[in-house]
Amino acid sequence: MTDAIRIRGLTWKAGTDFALRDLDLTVPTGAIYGFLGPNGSGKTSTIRLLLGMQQAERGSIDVLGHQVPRDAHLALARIGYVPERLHLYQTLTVGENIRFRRAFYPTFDDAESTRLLKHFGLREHQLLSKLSKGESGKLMMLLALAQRPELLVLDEPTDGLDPVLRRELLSSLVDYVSANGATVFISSHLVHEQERICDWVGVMDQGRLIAELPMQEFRSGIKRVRLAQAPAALVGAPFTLLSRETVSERVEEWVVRGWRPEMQQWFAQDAATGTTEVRDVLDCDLEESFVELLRGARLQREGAL
Amino acid sequence: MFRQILFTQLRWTRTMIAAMAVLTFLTPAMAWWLGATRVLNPLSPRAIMAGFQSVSMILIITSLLGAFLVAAYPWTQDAAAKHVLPLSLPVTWRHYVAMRFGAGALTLVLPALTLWLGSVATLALIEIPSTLRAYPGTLALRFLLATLMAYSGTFALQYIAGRRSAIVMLVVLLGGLVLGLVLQFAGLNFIVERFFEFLTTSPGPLAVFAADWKLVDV
Amino acid sequence: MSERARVLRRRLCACALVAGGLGVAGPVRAQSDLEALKARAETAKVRSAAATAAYRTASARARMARSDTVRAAGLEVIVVPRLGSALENARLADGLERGRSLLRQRWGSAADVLVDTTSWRLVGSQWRLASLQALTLASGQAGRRTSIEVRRPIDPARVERFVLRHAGTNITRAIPALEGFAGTDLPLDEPPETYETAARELALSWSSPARRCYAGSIPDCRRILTRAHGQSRLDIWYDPADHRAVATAHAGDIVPTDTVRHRLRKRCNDGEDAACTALMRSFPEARFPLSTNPRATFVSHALARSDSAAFSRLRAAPAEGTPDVVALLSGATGISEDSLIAGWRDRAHDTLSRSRPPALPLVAGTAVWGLILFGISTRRRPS
Repeated sequence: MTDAIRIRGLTWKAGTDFALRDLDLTVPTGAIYGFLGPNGSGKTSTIRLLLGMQQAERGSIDVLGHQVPRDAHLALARIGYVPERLHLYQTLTVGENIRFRRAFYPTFDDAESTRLLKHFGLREHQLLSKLSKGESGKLMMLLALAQRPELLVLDEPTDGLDPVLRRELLSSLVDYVSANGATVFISSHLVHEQERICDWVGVMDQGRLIAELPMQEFRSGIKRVRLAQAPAALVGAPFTLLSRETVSERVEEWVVRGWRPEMQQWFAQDAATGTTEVRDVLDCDLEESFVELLRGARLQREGAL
Repeated sequence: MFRQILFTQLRWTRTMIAAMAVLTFLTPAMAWWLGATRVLNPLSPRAIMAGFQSVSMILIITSLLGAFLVAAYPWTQDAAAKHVLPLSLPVTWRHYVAMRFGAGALTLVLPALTLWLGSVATLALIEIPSTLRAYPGTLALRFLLATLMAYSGTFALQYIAGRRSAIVMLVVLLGGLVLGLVLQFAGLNFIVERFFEFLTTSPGPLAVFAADWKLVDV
Repeated sequence: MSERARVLRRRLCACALVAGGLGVAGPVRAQSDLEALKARAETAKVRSAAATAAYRTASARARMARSDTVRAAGLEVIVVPRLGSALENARLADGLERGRSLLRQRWGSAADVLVDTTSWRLVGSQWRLASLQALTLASGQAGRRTSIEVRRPIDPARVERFVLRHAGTNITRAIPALEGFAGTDLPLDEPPETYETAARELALSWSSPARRCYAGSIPDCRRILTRAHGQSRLDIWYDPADHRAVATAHAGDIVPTDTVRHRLRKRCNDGEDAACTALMRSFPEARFPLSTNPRATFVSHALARSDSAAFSRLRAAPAEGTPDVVALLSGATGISEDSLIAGWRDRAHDTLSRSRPPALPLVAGTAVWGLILFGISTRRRPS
């Protein structure tokens, strides 16, 4: 099975302040890939690059078997894209925007469009400039789904929407994916939202992909471990240390990634001192894991670990 | 695809196109009226010529203004969403720009057509002196070419300079003025003259504006 | 007239005489002072003009001392030598020489006469910063001076055309019999634009005979080429139906205080033809349907179609000759009147027909520019 999206060594600069550096990213076909990261971490830039809207300085992008940006138009014919903000013609009506979009996609499903129109409570003659934010979001989702894409690229599709609307849009997305087996690449900084639907997670921070792993691993693999007489240096540890904090004179709290219960033995047998005692292993919730992951990556970059 | 692009073009610029069409349809009759009322002898060829000459500026301004609006408006619609929609469509950028260019150009045929119709209608209602000849087709063609030329220029400026196009235009005009003055001062005004000559004589880009715009001529 | 009225009139005349005598006696002395002042002013003016002329001659000599002079066919070009300009000076001289030989070819020994009567002479030149030579032309008539520019690289063919254009003959001095018919300059190279002007003037003229001439009527051409004087000329040049148009065309020239003409114009506007005719006749500027340059083309055309001796014969014609210019030219050139007129009319007509540029180059030009501009539009993709 080929990957739906495959990015290798991608480098792109936006002025002097921001850059994507040596980005490697893989989205397996059929996956729902949550693309997490704080605001300004490079999620939208990565999406624009993989859709061929911007040109990278270095690296390769392969989307649905097409080289981007060279063959972006071929890839785009199979991609449903929902951008961060409304990108449709606001001086046209809902119906006119649908007809405009339909003309460009041979796979456009009229019946599905009509069904979703009704489902979302949109009216054809409504001017886009008169639509609320939620209605605009629904229309963009409608257009993306009605063209029956193989890959859905959604850039913060629920940002700023109320929880009811968010749930409605995501359930439409899940329905489509379960019925058609499409791949979804969804960017967001709302971690809990991703937790419900994604099976893969990629985390961006300051233009770098700091983690890419299955959701299950992300959910259960990050732990808060409380240690007595913790070793000063880590050599050959079977997990990744994200951060360490002194709790009291002898006790430290570590946040580690890739933790499994049997790793407790490592402290007793293999760690440098052999006197370390694992006092407690605590679960992190998803948001905590995300924050710790970012903190760990930043500390590592600063050389604090 | 092109039909939809054309539809949006018409949807946005239909008022301007309609205004242009009405104006160009009425212009020949207006020219005749001006010529006929200017002197007592309406069949005097010189008076008729003067009438048609006096409205040629209306046609030139209509073509420039219409072309500018028809080229600029769709661009502003795309620019409002930072061109995300056209860039996310499954067509190459060149293809999209070609369709936009073609749609705008096609809508501009209508005012030229109404100018031709207005000219033919006016000529059917009036009698022109035997030494004069009417050129409805030539005038309509000239109007169309001038409009298309102005449209192409505005279109190119918009798509190259984007939001800065007004500034670019101003810089070019002021730069040209300053350069012209410097050349004049240096005794090299022939460069400016030659440049203007190049612009305004065929096949220069402004040759069509400098050409004859009279419906009736010898 | 009644006795009472006669007495009243005599008294009035006497009063007028007394008043006039009182008024005139005073200014006699003032008048003589004014004359003296005028004479002194004239003397000063003459002295000043002489001083200016002396200065001009001196400065011209000073310039000449640093320059080369190229002469041909009565044209005198003073070239200031500069480094690297020798080749171009040679080209200039070559062009002038070619122009001179062409003049000789066409006019034979009469070319010398033409040279003598050349109205403009090139008397100065100036090299400018990089790329052109400005030539100064001075006319034989005092105070007239203009300058033209010859572009670099200097092309002998262009200079040759320039010679032919500017070595034009002063008609009045060269051919006294044509005085008042064809202006001052007789172009020797028959430039097409003057024929185009002639055709336009014929086609757009207020005069119906002129328009019929444009349409091909030789007798009407003859009518409008007739040099007539007095009121009868308007009847030759214009049909009665044209009077209204001619009168209206000149109506803008009526000064507000000219109540007579204003009244005539009102009556003319009200549809009274006689008033239109009277109004037309009241304008001394109601003139030839053709301006002087197109008329000069008729002379050039006639001379160009005959041998060089025609020019001498025309020169010899008496100054106060026939008003019939067509007959005069026909006699000098030995070409029939109708043939002369038809040839001139056809040439004018054909020049105008050809002058309308075909649409194809404009269409092609616009298409090419449109494509170029479209190509430019696609160069920058927004991001």
